[in-house]
Amino acid sequence: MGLGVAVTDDVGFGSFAHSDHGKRHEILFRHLVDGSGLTSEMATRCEWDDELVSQSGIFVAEVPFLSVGGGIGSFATIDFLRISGVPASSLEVVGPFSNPYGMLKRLLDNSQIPSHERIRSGSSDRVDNIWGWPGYSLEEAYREKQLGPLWHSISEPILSEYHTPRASQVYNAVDREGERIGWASMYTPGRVPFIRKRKEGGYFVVIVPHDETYLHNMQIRKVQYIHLSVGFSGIHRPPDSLKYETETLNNGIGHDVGMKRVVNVYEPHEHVYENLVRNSGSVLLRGSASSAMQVIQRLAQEHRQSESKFELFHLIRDHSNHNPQPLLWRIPRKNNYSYQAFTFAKGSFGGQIQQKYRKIGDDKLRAELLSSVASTAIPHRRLWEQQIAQGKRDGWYHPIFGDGEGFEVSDNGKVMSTICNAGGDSRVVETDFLIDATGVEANLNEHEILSDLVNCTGAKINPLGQLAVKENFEVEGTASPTLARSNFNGKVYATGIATLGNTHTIAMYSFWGLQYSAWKLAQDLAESGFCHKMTSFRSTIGWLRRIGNREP
Amino acid sequence: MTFTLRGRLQTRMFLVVGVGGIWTAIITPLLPSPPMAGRSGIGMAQMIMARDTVVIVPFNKLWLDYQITFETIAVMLGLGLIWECLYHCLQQVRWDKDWPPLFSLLEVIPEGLVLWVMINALGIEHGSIALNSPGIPMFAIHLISTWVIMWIFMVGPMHVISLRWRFEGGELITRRIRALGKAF
Repeated sequence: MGLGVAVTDDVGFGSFAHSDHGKRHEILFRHLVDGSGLTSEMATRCEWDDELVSQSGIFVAEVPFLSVGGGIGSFATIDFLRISGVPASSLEVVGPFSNPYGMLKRLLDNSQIPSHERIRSGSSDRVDNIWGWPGYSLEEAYREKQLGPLWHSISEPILSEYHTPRASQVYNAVDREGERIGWASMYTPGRVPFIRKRKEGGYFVVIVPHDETYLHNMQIRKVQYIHLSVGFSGIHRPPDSLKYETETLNNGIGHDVGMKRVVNVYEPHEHVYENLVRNSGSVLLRGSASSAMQVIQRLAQEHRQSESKFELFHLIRDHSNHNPQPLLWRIPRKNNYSYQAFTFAKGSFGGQIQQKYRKIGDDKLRAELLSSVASTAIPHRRLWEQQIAQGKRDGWYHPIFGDGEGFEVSDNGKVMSTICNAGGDSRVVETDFLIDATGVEANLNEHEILSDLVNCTGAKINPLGQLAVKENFEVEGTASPTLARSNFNGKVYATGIATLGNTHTIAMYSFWGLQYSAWKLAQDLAESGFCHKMTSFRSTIGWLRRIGNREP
Repeated sequence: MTFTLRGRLQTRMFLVVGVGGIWTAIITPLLPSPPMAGRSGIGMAQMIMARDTVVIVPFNKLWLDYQITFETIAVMLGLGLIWECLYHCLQQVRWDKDWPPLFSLLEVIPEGLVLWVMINALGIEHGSIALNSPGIPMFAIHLISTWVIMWIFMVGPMHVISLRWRFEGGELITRRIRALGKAF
């Protein structure tokens, strides 16, 4: 259901500072013109025509539908279209990882969810199966010949915890489905820095290799339909972390060489655990979402397995003086932790909350509802409760309630964090490391293709600063040609986090949300005759073919 | 399950009429039928008056069983739509605004009790509402088996036959009705 990552965490460090994107963009274009064959006229024009492109001598091929990103979002959409009868030869995917779960796996591995651990996603929200049935629990019961997962799926969440799949189960299932739909034949490794409207209708998509040699080997695709699902733009860094990244770390001040003292949970940080175990130091953990709990789980395991005497200070936002919520709209809370099984409250997955969201006409109210059902919360897991209780007993786990007021790294490599409690009193906590578990970032301007889409293709943005999309997930303002008069009417669709805050769908960054948007997108494409309509009959046949592991 | 109220009502109608109806047609001949005596005013044979002739239709027990089981699920549907409104209100207490599958399975307990009283009150069953009534085994087996089949269908094959059901809170036809409305 959720991808196991939160967008932001509410530890009170303020918003993320934006980098100077315009400058970077200019540099990119200069490099492209210098080494790629892109003419200066092409670099300056927002609309190209066939003649202009053919004069450049760059390799051009035609494909009706191209998905940019190549991750789980692309996979959900391509899978849906293949099942809706589109041949693999009409589809192309461009992205940095040959596996659709490449980026997901990297984020999960870093945030202490290795392949054998379970991710925060529901049993029926499986991204390799557009029907969601049989779910992960039924598959696990079948493959491992156990009844436990089945009992979970019947009794969750009342008599047992939600059944959640192991990361490896998600990866393997995506591999199997990828093989079935011919993912490898549709995949092109690379990066799409920008797209251009084609005067005759449709678009040109520019593809460059993903590695450092991108100045050469540029390719262009003539495309009618583009799908963008480029995911999170990076790691969420509160201002103090950003300052540390850009100033302290680069200047080599206040830390041991090669040892990062302040790390984000989604970036590699094994050295922190190794150092804590070896030298029995201390660490401050900021954030109370499930990524923070995974860190506690890792440290609890390290504590049990080693003799080291490290200490963990866990900064948790103090909710005790917050206004009480309405009786029928109250997230379960205990010891300042908020509890929610998945990244979004379940009713956001097509249920009542989504229905309520659609009816809201006001941008502010819509944003409020979104932030309340996607707030920082953790799922109920008995293991975590036991580990925290044990940590308190053994004296290595210390919860601190309050808000972070920033940190400094001293010359001897200590992280001095200022913490302010609900009463307004400040104190300084000194630790060897700081792990920031405050989520990943979805900043549209940080994606070169998305910011170019806004600047050059005419994409509109929504009140949350993401792409404004219609109910069919077409990006507003990007139709090519603008008036549908050509026989090559192009559309740009976008799904995933880049469309968060749209007016009709709430749970955008979730497996469910990616499949839902694939369904809406395919409905729109079916109307223009690109694929078949997913009737009950076609759906059933498609499902039977999948069960029989036959090509769609 | 993440139902909207519309989704609940549509799902209930589909499950009872479609799945429950087919299952009832299959299972009725196999149900432990109560003794005929005292069960209805018709008795062992049914007399049909045709013009001046009296035709005696021999032994029509199965026909009566079908009458009972189908009338039972018709009442179950009617009451069920009211129950769904109640469940929707209860759903508001839950933060997630969802309805766990276990709840859907256990709904059969309150619904079954009320249904038993109701079909006796309506004269579909001619016994007493006491638990030793001769109609109880047939009613219980019919109800529980139908319920379990409907539940299994809901947690499984329902996802396959309608993607809309999965993505729109259990709704099956809303958009189509709206589209038809626009067309006229």
